[in-house]
Amino acid sequence: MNNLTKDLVAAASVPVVLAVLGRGESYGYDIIRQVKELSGGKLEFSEGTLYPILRKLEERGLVETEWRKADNERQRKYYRLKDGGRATLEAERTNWNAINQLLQNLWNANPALT
Amino acid sequence: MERQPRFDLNAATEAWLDQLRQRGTLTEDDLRELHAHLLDSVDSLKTSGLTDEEAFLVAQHRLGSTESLGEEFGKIQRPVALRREAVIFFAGALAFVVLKNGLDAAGFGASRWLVAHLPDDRVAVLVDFGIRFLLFIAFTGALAAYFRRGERLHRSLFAWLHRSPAGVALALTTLVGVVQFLQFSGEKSVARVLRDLPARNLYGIHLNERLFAYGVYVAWLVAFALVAVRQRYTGKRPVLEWFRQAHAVPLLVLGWGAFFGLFVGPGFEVVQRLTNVPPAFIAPAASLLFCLTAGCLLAENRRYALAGRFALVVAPVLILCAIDFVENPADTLKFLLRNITPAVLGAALGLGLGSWQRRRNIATS
Repeated sequence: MNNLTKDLVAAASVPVVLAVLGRGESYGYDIIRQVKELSGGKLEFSEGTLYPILRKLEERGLVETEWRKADNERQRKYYRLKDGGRATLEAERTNWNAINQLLQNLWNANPALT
Repeated sequence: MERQPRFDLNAATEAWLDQLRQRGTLTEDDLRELHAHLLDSVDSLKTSGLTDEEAFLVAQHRLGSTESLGEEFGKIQRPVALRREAVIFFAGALAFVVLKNGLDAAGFGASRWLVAHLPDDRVAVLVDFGIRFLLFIAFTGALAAYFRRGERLHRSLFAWLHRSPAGVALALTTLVGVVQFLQFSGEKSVARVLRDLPARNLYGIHLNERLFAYGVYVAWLVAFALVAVRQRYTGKRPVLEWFRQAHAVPLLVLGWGAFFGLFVGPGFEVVQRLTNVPPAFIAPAASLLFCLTAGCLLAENRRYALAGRFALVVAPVLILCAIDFVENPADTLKFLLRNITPAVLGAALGLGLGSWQRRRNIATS
């Protein structure tokens, strides 16, 4: 199996981060871990990619943040979806489903290519 | 039990954070978050049996080099970074006033003494040139050495500003006031000496003064641009990257400084003295060359649309026309025609050339 291309990862990064936060609040290290695990190791964000995305989402008012003490007495910065973030996530879901549907239709119509 | 030098995780993470801090593009909040990230990563590695040191090295490696992290964070546009930029521009402007006036004051003092003590005009002018040259080298050398350790400059300036903003304002204002006064009294006293000695041919001293004033101007512009640029962009070609992302205000300040300080001022004077080209041709040529250069540099600015980039490129020429109008309303139409036409031409050509060059680079890579 090929690795995902850089362009595809870049395009998917915002919806993926929003979707992870849609499952519940989380912090940087945990987001990267979840993405890696749920993608079966195919998609691994680097920190230099993830944190700037989180800053952008915060600036656009899609997520809110809070420094809080975790179980291990260490401070962590938690990210949580705001209403705007949920709306954007919903819009992203519709768009990606549409693209997925289109590709499925194209590929199923010509089975020789798959 | 055998004693080994123990690995200090705290010291190692602090050193790593310090390296990141030096990139200048991360806020304290970013650093705190990456610190927490690193420690989480270290913890998880230690559960799989690694020692502190091994876990730290692996975790640090996974986070990527401090250069690339600094670069990625530098791409974020933040209001905080803008404010820092504004402070740096302000501090740079003050540094320029202090440097130029300080040099002038010292130069005037030397000129005055020379005129009084050296009977031969040519020797006086020559020695005056030598003294100004040495002063220029000493001042700019010190400035360059200071700017080369730019990160330290940023940190100490911002730490000082944070601690006592009133103290910074007071100290800088006093400094500016003192050197301004020195410069003023120096100029007056030299003018007095020259007026008292009408028989002597000391025009060369005036020329020396102009030449070195421009020298300071150029040195300041370069040093200052480097600091302002490095503050935000730590990538491979920070200057080009700065031009791609810069806001209108710093671009206008820089454009005005470069146009007036390089093309109109010394450029004009040098060409006029060395050649027989009539001034009517020099001014349009200066506008054309400036807009051509500025257009090439701004062609790929991502912040503004084509019309905005065009306006930014020709703005310094327009400002000069506006000043000319206030000073001399009668000549404005002629001046406008002479300068606007080459400016528009140069801007169009420069913007075209800049984007063509970039497209060619993409095509060949």
